[in-house]
Amino acid sequence: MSIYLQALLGGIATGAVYGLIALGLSLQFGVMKIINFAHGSFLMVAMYVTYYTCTNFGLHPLAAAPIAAVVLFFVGWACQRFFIDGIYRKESAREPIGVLIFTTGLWIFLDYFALALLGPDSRMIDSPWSNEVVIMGDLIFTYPQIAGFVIAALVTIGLVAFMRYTALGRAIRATGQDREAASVLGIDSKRVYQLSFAIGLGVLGIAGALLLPMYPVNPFVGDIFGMRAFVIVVLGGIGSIAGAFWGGIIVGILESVGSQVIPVTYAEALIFLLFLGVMYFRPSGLFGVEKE
Amino acid sequence: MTAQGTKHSLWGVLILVLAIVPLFTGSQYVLSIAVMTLLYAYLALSWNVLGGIAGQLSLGHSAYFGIGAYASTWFFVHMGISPWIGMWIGAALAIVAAVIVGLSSLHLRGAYFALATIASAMVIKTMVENADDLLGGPRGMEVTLLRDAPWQFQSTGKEFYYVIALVFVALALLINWRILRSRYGYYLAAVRNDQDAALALGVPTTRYKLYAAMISAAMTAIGGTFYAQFVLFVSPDKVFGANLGVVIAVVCIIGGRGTLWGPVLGALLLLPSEELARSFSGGLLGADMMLYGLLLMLVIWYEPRGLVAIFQRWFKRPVKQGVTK
Amino acid sequence: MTSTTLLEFDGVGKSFGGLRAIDNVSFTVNDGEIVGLIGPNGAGKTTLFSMASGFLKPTDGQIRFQGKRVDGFDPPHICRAGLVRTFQIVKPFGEMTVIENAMVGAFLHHARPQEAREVAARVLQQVGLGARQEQVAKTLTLSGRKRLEVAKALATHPKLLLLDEVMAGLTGVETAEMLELIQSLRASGVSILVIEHNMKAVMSLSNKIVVIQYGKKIAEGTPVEVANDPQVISAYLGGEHAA
Repeated sequence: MSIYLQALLGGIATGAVYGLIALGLSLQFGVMKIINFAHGSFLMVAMYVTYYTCTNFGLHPLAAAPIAAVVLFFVGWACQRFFIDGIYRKESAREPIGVLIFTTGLWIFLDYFALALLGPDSRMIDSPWSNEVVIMGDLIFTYPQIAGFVIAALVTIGLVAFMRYTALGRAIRATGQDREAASVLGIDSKRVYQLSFAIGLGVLGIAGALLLPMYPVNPFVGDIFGMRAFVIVVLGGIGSIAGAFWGGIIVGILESVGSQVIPVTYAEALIFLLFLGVMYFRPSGLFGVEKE
Repeated sequence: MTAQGTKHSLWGVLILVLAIVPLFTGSQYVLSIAVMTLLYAYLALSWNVLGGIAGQLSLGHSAYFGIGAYASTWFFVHMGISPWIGMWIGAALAIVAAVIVGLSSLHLRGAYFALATIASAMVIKTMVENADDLLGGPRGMEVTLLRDAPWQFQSTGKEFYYVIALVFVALALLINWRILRSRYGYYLAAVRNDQDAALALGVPTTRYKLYAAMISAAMTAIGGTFYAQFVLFVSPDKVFGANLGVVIAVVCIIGGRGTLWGPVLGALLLLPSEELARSFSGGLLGADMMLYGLLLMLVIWYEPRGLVAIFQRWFKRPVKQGVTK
Repeated sequence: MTSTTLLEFDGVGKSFGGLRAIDNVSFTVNDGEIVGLIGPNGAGKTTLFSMASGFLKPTDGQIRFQGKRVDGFDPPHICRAGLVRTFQIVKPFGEMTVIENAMVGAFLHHARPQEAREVAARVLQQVGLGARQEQVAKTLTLSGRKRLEVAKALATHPKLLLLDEVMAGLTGVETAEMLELIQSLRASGVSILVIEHNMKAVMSLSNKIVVIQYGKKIAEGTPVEVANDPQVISAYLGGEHAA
């Protein structure tokens, strides 16, 4: 019994980090209605940034989180400003496929660029901190798991508060709901988009730093988590930040409890089936804000 | 003959001549690249029916490719049925898969549909990977080596495959051409442009999208059989890989999806470039795929309608991506 | 002189969750008529169109076309029966040329591309887009797009056309041209139900006016009768006869 409890709690911890990964995506989806297929690749970048910051400067992974966040924030801002915005405005409002295809190219390019630059090997950080555990009765929790859950939860709460209580946050939500109406109110949609994309990637930076102690990084690590992020966004509901968090927890639980019951490869397929199921039966997700 | 007629005939002759050239180089290496180029042109043309003409962005076509490759191989290895026949079994199975995937996801909008196709392809890949006894699991299956056996779709010389690939591409072009000129093609274009408006004019949108998916899947599966017979080996990673599904779409999009020659142009640009990138980078890992990514971003940035539109702009023709070329 | 009933709304109602968008609306469009459907914004007029053309299903009541029920059927079925709608926000097939747009409509009853092209060309002449056949649809002006919207529907050989605010956004001259077009359509045997905000236009066009407010029918009659109806006047906040 305690195996399952352990798996459940472990799943919640990793799930919270998954949720954080999906958060940025949900924000981009919700505000700009664009699909960013390069999201996983940006996670990979975040993890590598964390890795090299830690190994070269001897920093604690958690200390590297803000650094990764800032780097990714600017990368996100630049991407939106110089590339995505251009394509977004060129195409028909109803089907932003151009951005989708562009980010597909970006995804391929980033992954293989990393491969060419850094080689195919997986790297893990060598920090004694990541092996520390807390023991409660029969249950064992690693520090990274606890930190992952706590920080992910805090960031989610922070972001929800930001969106709900600050003027900037409200501006973002308004633009997401109705760009024209928002611009009548004086909100510059261009800046909102840049900000949303940047925040989305900044959050991803933190998620990368939280993930690295739990999971080794290689050029293609983004593919799995990227796909998972999409499942979570769809599950939790497009545009819902809290939804992304809870969706992540569900997927985390499914993965860790599931792999106790069935072979790991089947567990992967389970996640995909979950995605298909949600898309078919409840496309607006659990907390959905957007109508299909 | 009219000016148009003369122009078309000249182009036709040029294409025929270019098509024959690789056969006379006496180089198996050149032929190999040529075969792969034609295969991807064929796959892009197959994808074009659903992804281009019907406008439904599928990124999971690897599923059908893999089904075709595995079906013909299994029936050949275990039951001695020639891949020429097994090819059609694969196509039929792919159609069944397309119907299942289609019915569960074709109602989804653009990007959601794309995601659903990736998810479906991954589910199928996982199922194949876990079928150890039946399908060889992650290690895959080898096609029984017969060396030269054209009736069993095998040959040691690559000329055989090149000619067949040419025929396949020609047939795929024919299919695309017939569709584009027909009522069905116009209806698909209408669905692609505005599904509700198409519905309002009496177009049975769901059914017609499904047909496009079925045609596209069957054609892709046949391409899978060709591949299996060319490399004589199938495995989940090679024929069901997520990369493949994306690359097929990319080739068609870069060339110009929804057009007749776009898929071919895309393959003509990308496959040889990939090979060049591989050789000139001194074996730099991933250089070829990096090129794909870069080219994709460049084309979408500069001219989202692809190479076909770029050529039309250069030759000062008004760009008309209507239903016809 | 009896006129056959072409389209009949019979006690039609539509609820969206708790919201009662349409409530007990009944009226008819007879063969050869032009009926105007007016009412304040959000009254539910387009919802009625959507239900008649198969895009929405009524929660209660029936909609009959040529005596047969059409509520609950899908748009292609209803279109084939001869009842076609246009959209308030025009939906051209943007990447296709003007004639290809019309051909999509023509293909409903003409399977061969050559035939469909001929029919499409004729229809385009009718709406005044004959000179713009090869133009790409998304480059058309608003007036052109509105006409194209009519042409597409016309190419399906409808018996009854549902025109949704087909004059919105047009200049005075363009509106007059559109009026002429609609009248010529009626002359050629097509009956028409128009939603319109342009009062002057709809009053001069219609045999009969139906007024909808908050999802309910509040008046029905000739343009003169409706214009003088006190309920209608108050619905429009003090009356508004000129566009």
